[in-house]
Amino acid sequence: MDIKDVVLKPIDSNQSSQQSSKTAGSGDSFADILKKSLDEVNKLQNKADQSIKDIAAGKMENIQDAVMAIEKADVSLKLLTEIRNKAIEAYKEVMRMQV
Amino acid sequence: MFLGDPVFGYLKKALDIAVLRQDVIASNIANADTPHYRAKHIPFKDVLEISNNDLKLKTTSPEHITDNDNLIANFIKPDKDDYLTKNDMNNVKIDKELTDLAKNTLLINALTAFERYKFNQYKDIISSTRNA
Repeated sequence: MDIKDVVLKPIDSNQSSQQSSKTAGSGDSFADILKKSLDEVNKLQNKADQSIKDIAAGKMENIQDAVMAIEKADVSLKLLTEIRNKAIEAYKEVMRMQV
Repeated sequence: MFLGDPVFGYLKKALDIAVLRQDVIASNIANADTPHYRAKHIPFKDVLEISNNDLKLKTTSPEHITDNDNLIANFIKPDKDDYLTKNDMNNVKIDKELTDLAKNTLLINALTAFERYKFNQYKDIISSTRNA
């Protein structure tokens, strides 16, 4: 383990802000991440519906894949609603703040 | 409205078919010793072409019957394999029927579980705003 020298930087220097934005991922804003996860949940829902359809039509013999797809869709949807609730809670909290 | 979700439509159709199949198998088992009884069955594989909330008989040639009235009883077909195991012209194979019965029971259980899951999802979404 190599130890680099510690340099004290002012908090609001340009360099540090650039670094923090770089480490936050490949330039994804929070809205982008949210949109991506929404698409992901939607895709899982569609996959689950398709597997239910296949089981119903007798096309799919293995029921375990369908159950797996359904559980994935279920958990992702529950997570999404919970995150939505947390976001609304945070918004309400901010609105209650006294300025 | 979410009740227009096509999944509910074809789950209902598939369950109708499965319940009818249960009746057909029960009839075969009940008539296992009836002379001259011919077994009937509803095939498991690819019996349905469920498209846009519709239920059609699978047709591979234009001469096949088409069920314009969407009659569910059209799915019942006479048993094709015609070897006889008894001398009374009865072609019910009781082992096969019992196997199909078990398989169909599993299918009905799976489909009802799927239906419950779909409704539970909608219920979750509806009630999730309460604790926000």
